[in-house]
Amino acid sequence: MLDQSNNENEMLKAMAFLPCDVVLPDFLRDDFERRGFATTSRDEDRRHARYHLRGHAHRAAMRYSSSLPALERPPTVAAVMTTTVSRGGVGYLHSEQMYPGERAQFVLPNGSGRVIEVSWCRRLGPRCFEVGARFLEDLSVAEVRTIIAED
Amino acid sequence: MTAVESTDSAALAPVAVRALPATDDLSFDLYLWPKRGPARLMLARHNPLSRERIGRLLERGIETLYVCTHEADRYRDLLTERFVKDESRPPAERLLMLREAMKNAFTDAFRRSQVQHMVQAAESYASQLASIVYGSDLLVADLVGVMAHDYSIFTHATNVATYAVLLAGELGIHEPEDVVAIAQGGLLHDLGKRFIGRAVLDKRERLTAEDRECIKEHPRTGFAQLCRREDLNWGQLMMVYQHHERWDGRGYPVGTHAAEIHEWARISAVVDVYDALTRNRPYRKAASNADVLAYLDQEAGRGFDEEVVECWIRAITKTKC
Repeated sequence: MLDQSNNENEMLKAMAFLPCDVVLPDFLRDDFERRGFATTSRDEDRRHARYHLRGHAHRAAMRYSSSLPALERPPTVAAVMTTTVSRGGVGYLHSEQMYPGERAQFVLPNGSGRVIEVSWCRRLGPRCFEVGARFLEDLSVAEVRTIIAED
Repeated sequence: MTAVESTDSAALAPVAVRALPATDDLSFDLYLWPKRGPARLMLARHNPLSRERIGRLLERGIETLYVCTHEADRYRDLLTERFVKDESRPPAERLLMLREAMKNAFTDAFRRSQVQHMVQAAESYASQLASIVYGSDLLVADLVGVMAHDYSIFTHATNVATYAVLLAGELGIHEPEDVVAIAQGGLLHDLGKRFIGRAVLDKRERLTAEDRECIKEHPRTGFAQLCRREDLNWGQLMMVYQHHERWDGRGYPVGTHAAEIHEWARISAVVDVYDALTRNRPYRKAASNADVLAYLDQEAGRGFDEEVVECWIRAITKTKC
């Protein structure tokens, strides 16, 4: 069971100081200039509108948990780059592969903490994986607005 | 003969007449189900079933009889006792009987989307499969000739599991626990195909881009179904999740490449393609063994791990001394 409140401050610190290991492929750099609504290219059954985020500016922190019995994950904290957000989930870039069903504690760029569950992951380049995850508890409209406003 | 109510006909499971053992005391009812009309009781339980009678059925062209699904376990137990556990029989024959014995339980669990039953059926199958293959002098080349090449998920799953065990042995994986686990992973590797409609799976025409996207989801959906289970290890889960990843990173669902692909998934990738190409599909005939081996050789180091392909080619072309 993930303790969402535990060590959230530590994760916020990580967000500010921990180097992000993601190596951005060239083709992605322009992607971060996008703003506004994100279209859906996969059959994802979305419930809420999704917005682009500029990943450079929107670092987030994530703490692994051993949520899959066969996969051992030390509870380390990693800095990641968010790319999209909606009330129901978040898209981000990470230097390591994550697996569908994996859960992690996530602190969003505005400081909101949520538990996420990975839906899919694809490799974009060396040390660059794009991850799509859903929140176990939706963000409020106000929280989404705060995140987008910081862009 | 007693006619079975038409509503009951759906509760019958097919059994191959060739696989029926002669017995003095049949432990289940056997039904004949003509193409037209309802199923009829052919031989009631506790009656003897002689070799002569089995022979006469085959002479009449009757290859399939039926058992009630609630009695399918008794049929499976009979086959297991008479054939599968009989070490005096050739391993290839025992493997074929094992497949016949497990067919109903496995197919039924797959159709009904019962993951728990599916994993249990796979576990039972895998341990018996490993016990037959492990330590036997069974050669892949001998086996290929007798493997079924029809288009069914069950046939493909059992072929992949059997080939994976043999290939693992060639690669030096001999721990009994690992061999059983690899067999079980092979049986489960296409679990995600349960979510693909028959219209797509059986399509005779060229697949559309949308069909292909739908099919490409199956490693992910299969993994998602199994990933929270305590009774499967990471290698088995990777056989499900990564069996369509390519050595050059152009595979799916993630695009992982080379050493990032789990060793067991590299095994399932090779035998999955080998079996897929050597069996008949709704839209094309099976390719020859030589053509498929040539293709695998060409793709070694691009689509597949070179060492795994080399081992498979060596295994399949090996002949008895």
